[in-house]
Amino acid sequence: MMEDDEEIPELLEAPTGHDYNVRVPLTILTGYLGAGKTTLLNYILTENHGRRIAVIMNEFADTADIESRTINVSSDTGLTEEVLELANGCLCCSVKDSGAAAIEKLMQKKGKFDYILLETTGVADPGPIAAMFWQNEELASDIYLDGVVCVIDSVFGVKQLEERREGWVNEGLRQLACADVVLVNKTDLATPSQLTSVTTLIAQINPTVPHFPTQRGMVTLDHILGLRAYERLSMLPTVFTSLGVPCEDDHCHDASHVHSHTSGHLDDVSSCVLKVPPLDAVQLSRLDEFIRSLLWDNVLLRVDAAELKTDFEILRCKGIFSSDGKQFVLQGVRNIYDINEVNGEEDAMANGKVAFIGRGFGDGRVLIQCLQQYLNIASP
Amino acid sequence: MTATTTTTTTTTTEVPCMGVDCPNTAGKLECPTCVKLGIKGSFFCSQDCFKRSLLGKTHKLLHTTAGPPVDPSGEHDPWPFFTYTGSLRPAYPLSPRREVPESIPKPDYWKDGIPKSERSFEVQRNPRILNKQEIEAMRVSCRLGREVLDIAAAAIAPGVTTDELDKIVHEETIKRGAYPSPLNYRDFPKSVCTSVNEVICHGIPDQRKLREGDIVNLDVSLYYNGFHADLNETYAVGKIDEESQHLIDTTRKCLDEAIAMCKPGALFRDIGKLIEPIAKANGCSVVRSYTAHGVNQNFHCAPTFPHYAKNKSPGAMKPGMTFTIEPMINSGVYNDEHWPDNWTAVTRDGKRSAQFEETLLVTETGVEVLTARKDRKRFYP
Repeated sequence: MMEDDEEIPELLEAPTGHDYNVRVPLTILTGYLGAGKTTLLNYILTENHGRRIAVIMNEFADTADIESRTINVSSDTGLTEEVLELANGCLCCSVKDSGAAAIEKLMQKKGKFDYILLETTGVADPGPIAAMFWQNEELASDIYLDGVVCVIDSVFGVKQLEERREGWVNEGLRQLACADVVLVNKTDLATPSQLTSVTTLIAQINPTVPHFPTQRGMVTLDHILGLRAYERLSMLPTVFTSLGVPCEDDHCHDASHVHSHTSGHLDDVSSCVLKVPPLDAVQLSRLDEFIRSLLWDNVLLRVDAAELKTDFEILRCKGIFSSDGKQFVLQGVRNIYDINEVNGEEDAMANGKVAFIGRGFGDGRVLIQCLQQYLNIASP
Repeated sequence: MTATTTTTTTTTTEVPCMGVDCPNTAGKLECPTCVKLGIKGSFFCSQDCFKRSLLGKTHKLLHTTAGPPVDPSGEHDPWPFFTYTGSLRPAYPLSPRREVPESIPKPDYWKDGIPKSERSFEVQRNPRILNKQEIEAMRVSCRLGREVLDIAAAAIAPGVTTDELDKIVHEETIKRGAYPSPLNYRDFPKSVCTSVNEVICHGIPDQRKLREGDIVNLDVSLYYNGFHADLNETYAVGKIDEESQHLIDTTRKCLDEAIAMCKPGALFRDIGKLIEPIAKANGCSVVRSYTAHGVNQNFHCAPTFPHYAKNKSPGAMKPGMTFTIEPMINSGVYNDEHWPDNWTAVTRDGKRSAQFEETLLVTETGVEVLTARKDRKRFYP
């Protein structure tokens, strides 16, 4: 028991009667140093009076190594610093990551947050963190991944994204590849031509991502929070509308796909898309087989030749397609993916699409051709 | 049912401050020591008021009355104010830590509790493929693990404490030149996990005597010659009721059918897709928080995959991989909670939970149950 000369412990704030079954959304905030992440954070916090928002600052990249970390919890009453503790029971033979488990434990102790914002460092790749939280959702977790928001500087964005150095990976590209929504920030400082270049580049690298121009991070919060980017279909149709542009490569005569190039290096982040007609049951299972081989083993399955080992790095994949009158959505981040039946949309799409964003596959022609042949989709 | 899930919703406006002679109503601020001890309702209006109460010792009295044992035998519930989900109570004090002879090779966490080799990204992400010698070493470890489990299980009877079972497991393990893997793994205090009735897993052996009608799971893991074996079974103590027997039978069936689908190319995510429908068809649920795992030179490593249907676990089985399948099946809801020891996982509704576990090796054509009991099938197909 406590001795007299011991310090008086801080009182704990009791949980505030939230429903245990309400899961707390988590948004990952990424972007280059100086792009305006902190400004956006401050904007969100001041815009959201009355909500308890936990802001977790960076250094979550190597979550496997967390033993004890602090996080900042901001609410309208101010900023407090909390220590994350690990629960043994959640770790041993549990896939629940120590980081997620620690946040949950803190919520048990301190009451639920309404929202969690995870700000990564400017040089961090948000992919593994996103994959970790997305996979953890299954474990009856209190937290679910809402989406990844990427802030890009409209003045320096192009320069940052195009920067190349020997033996150095431009994380800005990965951040953009992984984003579910992009804020093109500081538009008040950019010239019209700078704005055009940066939005063109964004569309090239991640053609599936919606982007919004902002000044000092001011954006309608509905555009960036509460997206449910990993579970909702409604994100996707808008996302794919920008994909109607046929391939601009003179050497490419295949109208079935669109793809884009960054600055021509094979190791750059690029994207490719395959249009997918309604699939029969066999094609559906072959699509699944193709994707898992690609994402788990980095092997391209081919029909008329041996499997092809690649060094692709698929950062994100998305898709929407139909089979047997039902609609399916594909979501993937890193090697974790999911194909789910969705319902709702009246105009069942006659033509679905599957998109890959990643490094090392150049214009994606090989990848797309292999998939096309594997699904036995006729080239137009 | 689900009593503990609603305990947090105190309407704070009506609670008076616990501070001596304090006329204020308390806010949401609660004494951390009381929270730890499971004492409800210790709200204060401010840190200052709380400080005065502690220095004046009035509030502290509450902490001490919660602490010391009252039973003359020394046995006590260490958290008398904790809201338990079922009728099971811990019986402290735990016995002193058991010693392992110096001559026995130990895993890297034996001293400080931290499994350093497990923490690498590579170990957690990519399942190891064992070579012939390593597979042979796994076979030996797993055979020893099975021997120890069977010996300890034979001692199960009404009146026997789980600590006595721990003693048997510990002694039989070191007698074989092996280290009991749970001991000090992330500070686990004992050499085996004993999970009684509503305990899902990771129960800590203590002074509680098993009673006629209990079910108890013994989860034995040992480390021999550089390799861990991991297996568990759920046993009846004396005569048990029909519902408990049904739960045990269903759980065994879940494991057996899951084992039968293992072969090169089978997907880890499909294990849960097979198990959950079996559990559901039998009116049971599948625990979500705990998963199966790779086991080899590391106690817990890739692949980790759950036992429920809807999961995104990557990976396919390949010859030479060794991992466990260990479904935890509940009579009631799947949700789990933890005792204040941070280990003991119990069902949220207090209904019973059963588990079976084997360590498996993927062969060229199917699977070998490395920890199979002599009278059970070892090779599939």
